[in-house]
Amino acid sequence: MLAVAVALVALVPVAYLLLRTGEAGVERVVEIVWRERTAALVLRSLALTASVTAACLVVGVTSAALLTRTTVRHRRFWTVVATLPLAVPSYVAAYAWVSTFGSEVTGYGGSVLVLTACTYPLVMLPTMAALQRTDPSLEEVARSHGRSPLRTFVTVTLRQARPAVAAGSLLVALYTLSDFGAVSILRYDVFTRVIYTSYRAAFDRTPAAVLSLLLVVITVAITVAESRSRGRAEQVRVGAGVSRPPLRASLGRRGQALATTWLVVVAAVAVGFPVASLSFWLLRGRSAGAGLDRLFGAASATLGVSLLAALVAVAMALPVGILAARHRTRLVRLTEHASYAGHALPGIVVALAMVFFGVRVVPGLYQQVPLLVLTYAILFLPAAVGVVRASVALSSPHGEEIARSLGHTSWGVLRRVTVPLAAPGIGAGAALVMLTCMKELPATLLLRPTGMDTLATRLWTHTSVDEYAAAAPYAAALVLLAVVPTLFMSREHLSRTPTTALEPS
Amino acid sequence: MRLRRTLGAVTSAALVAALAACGTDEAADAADADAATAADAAGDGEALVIYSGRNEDLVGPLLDDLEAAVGVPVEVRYADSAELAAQLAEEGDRTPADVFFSQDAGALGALAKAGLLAELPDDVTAAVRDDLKDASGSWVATSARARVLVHDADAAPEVTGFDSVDDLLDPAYTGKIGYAPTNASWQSFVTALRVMRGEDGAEEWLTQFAALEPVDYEKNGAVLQAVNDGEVAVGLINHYYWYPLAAELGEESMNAQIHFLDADDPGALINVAGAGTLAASDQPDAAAAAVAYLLSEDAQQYFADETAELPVVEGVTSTVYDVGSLDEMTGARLDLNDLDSLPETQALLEKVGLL
Amino acid sequence: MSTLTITGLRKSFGETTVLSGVALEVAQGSLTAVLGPSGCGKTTLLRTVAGFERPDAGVVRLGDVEVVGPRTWLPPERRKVGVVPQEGTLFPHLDVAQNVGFGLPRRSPGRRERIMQVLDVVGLADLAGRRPHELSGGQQQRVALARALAPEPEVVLLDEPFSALDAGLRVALREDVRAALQQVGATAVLVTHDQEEALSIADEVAVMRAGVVVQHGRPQDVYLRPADLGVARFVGEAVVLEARRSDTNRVTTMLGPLHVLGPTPTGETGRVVLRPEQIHLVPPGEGTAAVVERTVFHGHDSTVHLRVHPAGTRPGSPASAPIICRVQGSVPEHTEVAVRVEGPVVWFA
Repeated sequence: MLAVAVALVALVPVAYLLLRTGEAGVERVVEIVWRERTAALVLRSLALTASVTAACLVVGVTSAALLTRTTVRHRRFWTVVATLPLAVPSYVAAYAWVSTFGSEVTGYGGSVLVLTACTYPLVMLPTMAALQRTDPSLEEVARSHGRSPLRTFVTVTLRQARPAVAAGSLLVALYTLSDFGAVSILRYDVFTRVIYTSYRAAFDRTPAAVLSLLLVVITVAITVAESRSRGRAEQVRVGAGVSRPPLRASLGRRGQALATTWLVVVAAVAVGFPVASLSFWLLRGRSAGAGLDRLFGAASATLGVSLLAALVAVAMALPVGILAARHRTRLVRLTEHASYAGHALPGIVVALAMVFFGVRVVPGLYQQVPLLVLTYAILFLPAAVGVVRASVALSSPHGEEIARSLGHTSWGVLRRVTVPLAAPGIGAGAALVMLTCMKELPATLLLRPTGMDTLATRLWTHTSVDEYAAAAPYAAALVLLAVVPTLFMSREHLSRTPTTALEPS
Repeated sequence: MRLRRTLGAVTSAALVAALAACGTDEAADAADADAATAADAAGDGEALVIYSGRNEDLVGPLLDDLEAAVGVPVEVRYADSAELAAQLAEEGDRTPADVFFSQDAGALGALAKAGLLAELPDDVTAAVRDDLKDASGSWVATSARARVLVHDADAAPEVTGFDSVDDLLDPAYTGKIGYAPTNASWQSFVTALRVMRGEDGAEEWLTQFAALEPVDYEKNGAVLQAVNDGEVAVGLINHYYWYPLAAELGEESMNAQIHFLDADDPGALINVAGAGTLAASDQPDAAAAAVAYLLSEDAQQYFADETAELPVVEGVTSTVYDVGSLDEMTGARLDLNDLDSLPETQALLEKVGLL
Repeated sequence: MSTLTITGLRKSFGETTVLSGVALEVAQGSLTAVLGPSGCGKTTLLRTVAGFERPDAGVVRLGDVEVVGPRTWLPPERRKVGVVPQEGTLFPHLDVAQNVGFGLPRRSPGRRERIMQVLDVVGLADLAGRRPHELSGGQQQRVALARALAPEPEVVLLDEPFSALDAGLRVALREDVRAALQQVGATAVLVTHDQEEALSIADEVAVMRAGVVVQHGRPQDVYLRPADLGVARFVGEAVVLEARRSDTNRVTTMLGPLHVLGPTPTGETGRVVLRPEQIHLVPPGEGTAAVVERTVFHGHDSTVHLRVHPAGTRPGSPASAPIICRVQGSVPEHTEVAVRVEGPVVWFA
């Protein structure tokens, strides 16, 4: 029931789009969808999405494998560093590249580079979590059957981690599909651009709504494909074996060097370069120091609303995620897919939907923190749902039954067993949502309380008038603040005690 | 146990942060002398709410002065003009906004067409020429900017002799022209081209332009930067990007030089920023007073001196920048209301492959 | 503790019928083992009693309380049923005492005492502060039992609780669990596929097959008087012989004339079941001639596989049935022996 309510809230943007599309009339809709350019741009968007997702798979899985399954040095440090790119807004990264390399990095290649650099942690984090929990005995069996460590990893270990990898890839795909900031700076023309152009040049919400709805259809297709690929694989570890920490390949000197080089290169591209570029702005710019007095206020407001949003998103994700982990009925699958609707839509579309409903349904909360937080939660619910589902699925449902038989109601069981057991995963999900909220811009601009700054809005204010030096401290603060949730996530991912498996250990 | 502690910590951290967020709102407000009253008044629905599509870094100080001049507390929301126009359209008659201050006329025109703007009192708009305001008085221009060419003084010195955008259509400039195709000003220019030369004439120009493989940039500022860095030889931008950069770097050390085309050429189109009051405003008088302030001598001087724009009220000239006056630049006497056919412009741009 | 009464319990998962009318009564304070091969529905039966599954039809009563009925469905938390799952399934985020106290009201006055009391019953009072992962498999099972017993349930359900343990530990723990259950006078149902386990610790054994209880009785009765051939073969090792009725209570088999136990056989031909320990090796000439085919050494004894040459057949003709018996020590292959049957056999038409 609760899950259905959450799904309904998550579907508010879609309801809004249907309303707008309905106003257009069939002919207009057909005309908008049938434009030659629409088809071409959909294909371009899909191609970009496929490339970025594939690249994130390679980078994310490789980094996850190095950090969880090898003895590479300074694992904790590298885990934090490798997670940090999540805090770099894709438009900032894109600007950093373009301002340095100009047209050499624009277009398809640059877009793949920047979007991959910003989103690969979405694949890396769930993969790390899964790799820590796979049953080492399966790998031992494979090794004893003569498979090399690498082949064992690919054919056995990764297969076990497949649901997590797929969930992460889905987030990457949806992010890429809905991104506008990076591709517009990198001048790669994709589908979201038509949506924005519809608002920006034509001041017409109808084509934007129709095309956004098309985006929703594509999203549903992608999420269905993902849930097919997840299939029945997501099962509790069976057997009476003792859960042991994962096997780590011990790296020789050359291995250490190679692994470290990989981590350094990824970090340099994804975090190092944007940060260096920021520092360069600071040194060069004429606007340095302007508006710095508002840094603290913007930072604490950012921290406050994104933390609240993380809590709300997780609270909303719990019923959906638990349901999705425990019952795979048609309604549940529908509910789960519905929760992904917000994530694939450009922020501006979701923001306008919340403007439309907010001002009519909850006028008292309009342009107040609660509605802003709810909007964030809708936008980033999928990240939380995915993580909750995965972490709940890892603990055996028998524990919950036992708790029921010991006299606890289903609510009590949720509170005392399910949630505590999934806590590390849920915490990581909250941190992930928080990171993503911190850099959100379009919805923040339209729905923040009048006068409230966030780091992202300050960054926008300064960069949109080319005051990059003034913008730099805000971008730097964003990356610094991001270290906090990142540390939290990496701690959960590195914790040794297998508290999540409800098996004898 | 450990979990309960963790959850507890997270929750209290959230509360602290939320309180801090509220606290900083106040702090920010307190920094601003009158804003405390603004916050109080907001509760009573007394504050005048301005949706500003113009950047806070550009007009923030001006709007602070406006609050003092109008005499009511003012709250300003900053975002992109187009997004704000969409927001206002979604809010409809429930909008909390009283005034819409837009970066361009298009967003104002769209809202006027939707019947969301109130008619401004004649005495407010009287000082502005007819071609710089809506015929029915729904909005008025507050400042203007001219389309110009910037060129690399070394690589393309001949540009100083150009009269028209037609002079750009030389194969010698293949791959050497920078422009910002998604920018509203560029699209206004194309609309002007259509209005002045007809669809066929515009298509012909654009087709030839496209054949030169112009380099697209995200923003006008980036085009100017590209010309100054020698990345491209010529760029199509708005005039006011150049002056502050020239003032900052010194005009003589600028590689990029500005060139105004003949006033009758579509390439010399004048775009405006403007303002209108919302029909749903609960304080139309204060709203009108706010717009009146934007047309006051103080405000016009601000635009001339601070943002290097062209004042729309006669008699005000910049004391900082050596920018010409609006009158000498407006040859192409286009009614700005004729520039509202953006969808057709975009269709044409798509057709010739420039969007 | 109450009597557990189950009648007409049915449950299907989609097309598959798992319980097709189960009836079972477990007397107050007794331990009943539900014995059956995997897939017979015994775990589903247990889960239905616990309230983890909703049956399609049937009634489950605990004492006077109907927990499942045509119009009744008590959720698990209101049934007062304790469950000990296969792998203990302790809550990893809680220590031993917290696990045991999980079903006790958090602020009840005697909570601590009760926890220590049941931990004492399972012999783990000194491990109250340990975490589950610091316990051995056997200790985990004991904690799981203590956890189930702590809230004084009406009935305790044990789902193959020893299957994950190694053999030696299994026997010892079995005895301890039996003792613990007796000490608190629990009504208990133990689900198992291990006939030795069922026969050795239960007061009664219910044999399940294909979704129904096919026989229910004392262990000796189930073993010695199986209800049908299937039960006979499942509960312990069975030697099945073709038989022809010769007199009211006598039959003729390849092992000679045998005495039939219990009800008078009907019909002229049928089969009889005897247990390996009823077959004794005797010197050649003193019984039916046989040849040792194979001996399997078990340590405490050996199983000898025999080929019997019934009277009137030539040596070397195929034996009609595998015959096995138990002996001390070892008998070489191809040894010519004779066999004699002691005790009555069971007749199936």
